[in-house]
Amino acid sequence: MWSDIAAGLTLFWGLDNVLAISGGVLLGVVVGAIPGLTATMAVALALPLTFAMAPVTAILLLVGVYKGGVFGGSITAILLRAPGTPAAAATLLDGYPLAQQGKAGKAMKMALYASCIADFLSNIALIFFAGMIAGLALAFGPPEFFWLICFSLTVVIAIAGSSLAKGLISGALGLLVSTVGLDLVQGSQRFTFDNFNLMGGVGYIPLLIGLFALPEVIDFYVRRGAPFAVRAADASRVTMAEFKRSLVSIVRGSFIGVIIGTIPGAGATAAAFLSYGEAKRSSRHPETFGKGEIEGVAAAESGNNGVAGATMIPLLSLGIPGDVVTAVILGAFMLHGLAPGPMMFQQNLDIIYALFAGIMLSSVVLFVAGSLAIRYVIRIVDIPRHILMPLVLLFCVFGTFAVQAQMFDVLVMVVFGALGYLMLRINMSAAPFLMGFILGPLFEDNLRRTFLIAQDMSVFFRSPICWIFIVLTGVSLFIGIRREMRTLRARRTLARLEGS
Amino acid sequence: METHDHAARDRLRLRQRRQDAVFAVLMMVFAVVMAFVVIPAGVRVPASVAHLPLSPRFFPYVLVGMVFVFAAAIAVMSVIGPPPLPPDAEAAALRPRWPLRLAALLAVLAGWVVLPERVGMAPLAVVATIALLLVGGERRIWMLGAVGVVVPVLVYLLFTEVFHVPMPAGPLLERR
Repeated sequence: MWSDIAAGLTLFWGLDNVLAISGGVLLGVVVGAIPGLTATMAVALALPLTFAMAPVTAILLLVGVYKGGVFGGSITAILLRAPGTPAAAATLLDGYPLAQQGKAGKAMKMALYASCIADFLSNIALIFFAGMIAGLALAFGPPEFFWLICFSLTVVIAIAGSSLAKGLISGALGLLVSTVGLDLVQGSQRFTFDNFNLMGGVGYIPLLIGLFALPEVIDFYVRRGAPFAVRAADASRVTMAEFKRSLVSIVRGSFIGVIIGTIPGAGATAAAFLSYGEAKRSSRHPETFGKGEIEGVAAAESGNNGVAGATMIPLLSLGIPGDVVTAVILGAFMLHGLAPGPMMFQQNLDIIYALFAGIMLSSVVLFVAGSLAIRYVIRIVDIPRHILMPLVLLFCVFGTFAVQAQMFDVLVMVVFGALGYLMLRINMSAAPFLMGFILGPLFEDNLRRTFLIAQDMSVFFRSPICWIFIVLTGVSLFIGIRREMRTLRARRTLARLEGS
Repeated sequence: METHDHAARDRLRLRQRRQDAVFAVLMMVFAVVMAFVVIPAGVRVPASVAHLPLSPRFFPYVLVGMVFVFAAAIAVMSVIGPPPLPPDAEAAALRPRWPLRLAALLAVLAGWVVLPERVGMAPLAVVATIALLLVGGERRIWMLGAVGVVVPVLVYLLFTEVFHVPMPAGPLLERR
């Protein structure tokens, strides 16, 4: 074993690998920060660059791009309310209000610290518990997956905003929009009305940008609103007390990210919202969430980045890509004549250890690259809003178009922008809509697949994993409803006091 | 003075209640239209479907039912529930000449949807950015040139040359 580790470190130790990781992380941060350009796109863009590279260097470059892309998405989410990646949508819930209060630097630094810690813990899980966690992931069949998604959907209660009923409607509408397109079980069309562009469903990037970034642009031209208090020399730091307060949420979020990341198909967005919801649920001051709570930023980012290392677990140990990004990375493995999976741990152990060394280094590089990015990118908020907003719209349109190179996506973005603005005006949170939209296909597919396999309801209650998630779902619903009842009671008391 | 504040707050609360009631009614109408018109017309059910949960209409019907129930809850709460928190009056204040500004923004958005194939992405980006800068109140020529022309062209080049996104070039930039 020690000889394999030594061989792996020898294979890793070289300037080319360090440069590949550093360049990859920087590229990822830049691309991830542009609304519409996701980490997946960044990795796909970098793939042709790796053709002439050694296998380890190539994979490390792509892993660096992936990790940088995941963090980069949070930058514009905090500064402009335009999430660079879907998973960063949870970060903007508290990150953007913090920026509005003149604390963009604090929000971005906390996002970076949480990202790096979660990334590091996720890497540790990858290196030491890959086999065990991969085994757990394999125990997930459609019924277990169905209950996991049910539990994730209860997060809607935590992110519902000022009105639970409006938040639930928002979530249900998101689920409804996710049904547009070709039905995967029966192969019939739903709500496409013979429009070819809708066959594959509504694209999540146009929807994401439309729901979050565009309303901010519209709002600027319509409402007066509070001006930003941010300055370029924004010295707002994360205090030790704030860091300590957020540490539990960071560790919990990392853990959630690792578990979700290991399960193929679950995705970083679900992990980010789940982590955010848990942080709010367990907080002593849940009412501060959504209004600029630093712990909310930490929770969302740790959930988001905890996924990054963990998605490599099923890829390396089983040869199964956990998400689209790792599917592209799997392609890079194959391009270089490597086949991830159990056999790789026997035949190419030195490469595995070299990758582990590089992945661990990527957490440090992420910290350095992230700090640099924060120092310079934060100057964006110094730009007067009347100049910034046309440019935000420009990036929104170009980024949306870039996904599939079709103008229909821009139309979708505009439609959801109008919907997002209406939601903003009637105090209806858009986050549950996104959550419902992302989890909808997983929820329905697993419900129907389970029924297709068993045609018997008892299959939903057979395994212990199902029961764990049933109990968690029940507890989560109970806590959410109890909190809503308390809020209603408090409002009634307040009104009575004001009346007297 | 205090009585005046109190009355203003009550007015805002009443408006919020009315707004919630209207929203609830609209959502219930939406749910009914979806259930009786859109879902039957927009979702085809194959003859082979044996069980209700396997039907492609099952999930949309459940969701529409949920929307109806939650909207009904809002309607009830808007009548008998505790008074809502009054909205922040300062944040809700509208800009002067906002309808004109909104109309200009909508025109730019419509242009983004309709014109790129005919005009080309780069010229449209320049025109749209300059238009919005003017709507925002920018009048300095050098700023309009720097931000309205240079930045859109650079962004266009970034997407086409670096990210290799095939953007509509339009008649001006089309390579012959």
